[in-house]
Formats: sequence, structure tokens, C-alpha cells
Amino acid sequence: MSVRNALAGEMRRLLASLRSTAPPLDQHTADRLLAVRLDPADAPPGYAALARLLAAATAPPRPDELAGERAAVAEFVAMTRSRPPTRLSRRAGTPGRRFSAKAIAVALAAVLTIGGVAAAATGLLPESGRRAADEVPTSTTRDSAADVQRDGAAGRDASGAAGDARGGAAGGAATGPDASGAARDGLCWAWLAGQGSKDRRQDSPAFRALAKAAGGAAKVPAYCRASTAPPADGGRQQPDAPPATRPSPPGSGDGQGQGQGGPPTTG
Amino acid sequence: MAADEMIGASFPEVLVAAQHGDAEAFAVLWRELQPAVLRYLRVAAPTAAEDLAADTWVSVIRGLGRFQGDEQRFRGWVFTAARHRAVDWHRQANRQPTATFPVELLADRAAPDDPATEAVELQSTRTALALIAELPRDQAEVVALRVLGGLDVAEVARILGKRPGAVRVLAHRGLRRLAQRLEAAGHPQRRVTR
Repeated sequence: MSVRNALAGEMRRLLASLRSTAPPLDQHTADRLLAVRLDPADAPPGYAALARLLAAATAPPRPDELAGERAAVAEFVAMTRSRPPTRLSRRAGTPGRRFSAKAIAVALAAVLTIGGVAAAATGLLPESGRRAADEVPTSTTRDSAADVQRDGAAGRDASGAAGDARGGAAGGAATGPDASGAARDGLCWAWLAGQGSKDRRQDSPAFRALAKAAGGAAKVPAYCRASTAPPADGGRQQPDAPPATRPSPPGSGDGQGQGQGGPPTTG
Repeated sequence: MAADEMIGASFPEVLVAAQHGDAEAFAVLWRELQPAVLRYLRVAAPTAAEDLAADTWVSVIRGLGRFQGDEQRFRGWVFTAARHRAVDWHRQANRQPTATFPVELLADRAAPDDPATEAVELQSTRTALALIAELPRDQAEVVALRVLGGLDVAEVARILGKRPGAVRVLAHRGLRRLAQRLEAAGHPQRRVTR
């Protein structure tokens, strides 16, 4: 019987496939299907089942799909501790530049660092020099977004420069930028440098980010004091911190210079 | 999972906080994207989806400090990482997409008098993903990124390195092929309860 059933099913399928060519699909219907905004009841002939299938594919997440949250967050915590992100985002960097002379000095020092006179810059502006060195890869990426293939090498070179600059600044502190620290440092420096004008800072994205990271606006001072203190674990940074990443494909920029970091490909 | 369920206005703050090491902010990003990433990978690399999703997040964490852009771009960026994982996996293992899924099972088991209907409903997301995965690879990829990723044509084109027009054509073909497949399987119109 089962063989017979199977044969019948096969026949049915074969016949169906012979007669079946899905009716034409207009672009509007296609767009609604892809956006999962087409009610099966409103679907044109031949597309109701597809509308249902796509709705099923995008059904709300089930618990088992979110079961890995704890592990993922643990991974995040472990990775950001041992191998912090190495570059500041523009979003994190911009408010700093807007808010303090010190941050402008940082930007200047970054230029000087790129120009190969990092030692002079860091001699004058020890902490800024260190920060600037950490920022160099960001500048590199941003300025040569069209040439992202160079990103990896440039990042490594710049990280080397970061190590040198920091060595000069922090008296032999480790090579390899500590960038979660750096991001935090940058915001804290901007905040500390602008302490005279408190009102202006409270509603800035930079301050909100700081407050969030610190666990509340009131905790920012303590958070920043801890942040800008000399590193206690100076010698322990990862030597392999330079990004093992594949730059994002050319053309990933949107024409506004908004390059994105390429997702790393090493697992 | 669709675009209207995005994090929205608070996204920039969440992103910055995560970039500063805020675990709760990262968890927000993860919860928002993980189901979609997992489903995308069930299409792109069916037997390795869970592992590749975890690998994807490792990549994302590693590159997070460098990311710049809005939420749509972030989604695209995460899916780019997921796709790299899937492509690597196919390359390394020299594996092919799954063999033909017995779609007629869907019709048979979904018969109204079938006591398993309820169970089938619970699995219908997986079934749907398996059917999308049956499409030719480029069509499956476009349909998955558009539908599961909630990404627009431009973002998908960017991820795949194709022209927007080509993405539209692939999506169109994929949809028609899927519809045809469902019809051919005698997928009963009355089946679905909502």
C-alpha cells in the first residue's frame, strides 16, 4: 500500500509540476511578499501558499532561537576584556572633538603621528599622543574607504605606531591598543576637559554614552577617574591585537564616506 | 524579524554603549538579530547554522569597535559576517546545499484531519526555511536576505556584490519558483490557520 501511495504522490507531483507555471508576478506583489506584508487572503492566484510560507519563515522568535543569549553575552564580555575593539567609532569620536581643546589636540597629534613625528607629539601631549595613536587606524580606514583592501596592512602599521607612541608616552606600556579603554578614555577626556561647562555636556551623546557605561550620570566622575588612571595591567595586552579582518567589499560605502568595518573572517 | 521590529530610535545609543563594552547593550543587539541570523543560516548552511551563528557573533564582537553606520547598515554588516561564515563553510567542506526536501510531506501531514497538524504548525518556520533553501543558491540567498534579514535591495546588493537590478531579478525568480514548488506539491490552500 505504501508503495502505491508513494507512487500516487509521485504521479500527482509530476503532473502538478507539468501543468504548473506560477502565474506572472508583478513587482508590487513581489515587494509585498518580500516585505511579508501580503495577506495570503489578498494574494493573487498561485501565491497564497507562498505568502503563508514567508509568514511562517518570519514568525516571531521562539525561545530556542534565543537560548544562546547567555553564552553570547559571556563571549562578548570575555572578548572585550581580553581583546578590546581596536578603533574608535566615528560616533564615539565626534562628540569628543566637538567638546574639548584636548580632543582637538588629539586630532592634531593623530596627524602628527601619521606624519611620523609621533615622538614629538607624545612628548608634548603624553596621554593625547597615546589616544591619537589608538585612533590612527580609524583615520586610515575612513580616509581610504575606497581602498579598503589596504585596511589590514594599514591597521597593522598603525598599530605598530600606536605601540611606539604609547611606549614613549606611558613609559614602556604594552604595545597593542587597549581600545575599549581607548574609547572610554576618549569620552572621559572630553568630559574632563570640558568640566567647566556642565550644562552643555549633560545632553550630549557622548555624555549619555558615558553615563550608560558608568551606570548612571552620577557615576561618571568615578568611572572616568578609573578610566584615565594609568593602566594597572600594562604588560598584558594582546600582541596579536591588530585586526585579523577582511575589509568589507569595495562599494560597501554608501557614497557618504561611511565605510564600515569589514566583518572579520577568521573564526 | 521584519524591518518594523528594529531597535529604532535608541539604536545609536545602544551601539555606542556596546562599542564601549556594555554587555546589556550587546544583548539588545544580539536579541534583535540572532533569530534572523540563525534563520538566514538555516537557509544558507542548513546543517551548520547554529555553529555559524555563534561564529558570526564572534566576528561581530571583534569588529564592533570599528563599525560606523545606522541600524539598517548594522543589520547589513552582521549579515555580511554571517554570509562570510556560510561561504567559508561551503568552501571548506565542499558541501552542497541540502538534498531535495520532501515537500509533499508538508501537504500530507498538513491535511486537516491529521492529528499532527498542530505539531507541524510549530515546525512550520523550519519547514519554510528548508523550502527556501531548496532554491538555487543565488536565489535562496537573495530571498533569505530580503525576507529574513529584513534588508532592502540596496543593502542586499552591497552584501552580495551585485547590482540592485540583479538582486530584484533573483528575488523575483526565487519567489516564482517557490510558488511553483508549493503548487506542485499540492500545498493545500486551506492549511494555514492564520
